[in-house]
Amino acid sequence: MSTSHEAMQALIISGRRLTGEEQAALDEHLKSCPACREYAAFHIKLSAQFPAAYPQVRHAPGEVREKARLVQAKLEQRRRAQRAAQHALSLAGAGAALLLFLVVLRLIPGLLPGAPVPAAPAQPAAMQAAAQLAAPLKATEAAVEVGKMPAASLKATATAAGVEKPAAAPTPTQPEVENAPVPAVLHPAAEPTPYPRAPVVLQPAGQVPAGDLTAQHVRALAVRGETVYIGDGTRLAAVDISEPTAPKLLARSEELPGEVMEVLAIPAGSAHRVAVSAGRYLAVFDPSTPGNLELLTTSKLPGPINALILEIGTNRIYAGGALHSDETRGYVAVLDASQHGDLRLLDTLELPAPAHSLALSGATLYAALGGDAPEIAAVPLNGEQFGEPVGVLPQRSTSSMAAVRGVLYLGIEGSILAYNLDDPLNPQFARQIPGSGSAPLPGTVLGFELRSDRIYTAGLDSAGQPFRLIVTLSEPLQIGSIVDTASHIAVTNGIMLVAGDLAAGESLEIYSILEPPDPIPLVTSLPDRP
Amino acid sequence: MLAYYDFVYHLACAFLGDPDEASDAAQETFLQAALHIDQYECGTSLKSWIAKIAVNTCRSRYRKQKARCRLESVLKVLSFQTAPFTPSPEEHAVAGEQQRLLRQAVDALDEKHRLPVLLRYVHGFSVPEIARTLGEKEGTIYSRLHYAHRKLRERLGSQMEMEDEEATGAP
Repeated sequence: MSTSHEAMQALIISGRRLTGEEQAALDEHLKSCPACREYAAFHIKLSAQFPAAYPQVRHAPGEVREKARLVQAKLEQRRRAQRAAQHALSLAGAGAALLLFLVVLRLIPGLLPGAPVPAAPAQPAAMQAAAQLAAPLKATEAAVEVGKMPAASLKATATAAGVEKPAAAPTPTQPEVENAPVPAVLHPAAEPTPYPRAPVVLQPAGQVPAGDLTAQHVRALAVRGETVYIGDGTRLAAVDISEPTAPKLLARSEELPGEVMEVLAIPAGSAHRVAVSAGRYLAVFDPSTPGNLELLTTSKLPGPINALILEIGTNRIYAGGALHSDETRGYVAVLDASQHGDLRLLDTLELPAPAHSLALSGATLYAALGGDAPEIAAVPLNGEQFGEPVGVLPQRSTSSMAAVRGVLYLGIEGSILAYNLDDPLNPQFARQIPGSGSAPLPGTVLGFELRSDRIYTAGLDSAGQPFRLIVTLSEPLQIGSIVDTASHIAVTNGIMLVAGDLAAGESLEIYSILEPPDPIPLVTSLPDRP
Repeated sequence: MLAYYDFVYHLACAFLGDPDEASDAAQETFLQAALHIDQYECGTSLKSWIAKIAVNTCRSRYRKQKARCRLESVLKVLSFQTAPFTPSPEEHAVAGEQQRLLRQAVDALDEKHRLPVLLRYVHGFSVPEIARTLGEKEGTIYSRLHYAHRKLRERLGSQMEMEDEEATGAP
């Protein structure tokens, strides 16, 4: 590597973690270069003085909530304005269509049953009359909000606006349009829709061709773009789902030292990598070469891995499982996967029971522990190190867990429980989904994915039959775009994917999410002219 | 997303130098983020994405602010009035002379050199992160930081050396 002043000063100022080689080169250079030593000294002084010169202002949570409320109000205001503009546009479109229709009627009176054929020079006058007719009609439409004004007042408004005038006093050259039927005008439905929408339908879309996958069950999946990465026994497989009805196997990895139980897609700029658990090993693959899953590195953890979760932004991977030396005890580990081809173990922590599922919220990692006394444990995170674990929800077992925007969701028998994490070490029960007024889910939720106002679930009922359900919530979850989840279900671009270890005999399930049709528009007729 | 409110406000404060403007800029940033959340690529750094929106919002406000300041100064000259100096709460917080000089030196930099400095030293962004946030090449950011470094050193160097001498008791 270059050891020029520029290169060394770039290393000093870069702010990124230097590699061992870079650090050694810099140390060596600084020993013999007074100019770069001065540069480094000034950089250190600036680093020390800037925080004091630009002090950070910490807003109280209440103040931030108030700001959030203001932002929300402005957002609503803009959306209302957008909707009003769209509404006005569609009204104008309808008005224009009506105008055109009327013009056509007047120009070609033969189309009108019983209407006399106009005299030859009728065209300019007809257009004038149509314009006269259309102007008050358009004014009326603008004044009327569909569904809010009764027909009588609509008619009165139309009369007051002088709709009848051109017809009542036709010029000698005007075609007679009295008693001509005025066509119905379709207006877009006002919000909110006054009737319930049809339910969302899941339709089996396609299957990976038999023989393409080697294992009976797929035990994990992660989606990136139009590719789903799945655990195929002791291998990682990449499947193209751009055409959900005909998924295609793209590549399969070499055999790993254990069954692939968890898969994560790690973003890395425009490219990405894939991390998988294989027994007690964590392996990272580079899928950038078509048809090839290149194994970059592996890291050996204290025991079989049951759960993996990615911290978005830092690309730290949290792993949980059972200790190899004592399977009644568990562990969590954190690894840095931010460097391409490198996996650095940062810390491990022993737990009193095996960890089955993990969730991350802010600076707290939640681990669902199994064993004789299942519970949810919270592990504070101090940078790259684990703090002391605390049991926060004793006697609470769960098959799947996710933390989203300060709420911890636990999949249990018949429902999903939501806990507020305002105090990370003291979760407070917030709600049960479905609520008490709705029918419970048919069995135990084994995996779920949260998206806006829906929860996509997969589970097993009491008879051992798999179920796949979408719970549509009356109140949206307000979860934004980041979903931290450790489940074996994924939703992407109108497709729901379920790893097939939930349904015996099947591997990867692919469903098309069929949205209900748009609400039927309200039909409002403008009043017939006398 | 609002977990980044303090970060955005801090960035806006450092860039615009006015708490009220910064508060408005922070709100505008989150409004834009909410309106364009579909453009956020899941899996990438949310903080960088929000920083990018914040920087664009601040730039736009800064230009308006500059135009307003120019107009105000013209009006002041025309009316022979001088506005009383009222230190902002931020300025009250910055008590030390050294900090004041540092802020002056940073304010004297032009926008393209000031932004990387603020992101690097106030918010601890690395050069690759700054490049992503500002939509520039890493080499450009290195070059701007080196330039800003040199300018700050010219303006602050002698003063810092004096303080060092005082601190070490040197004559």
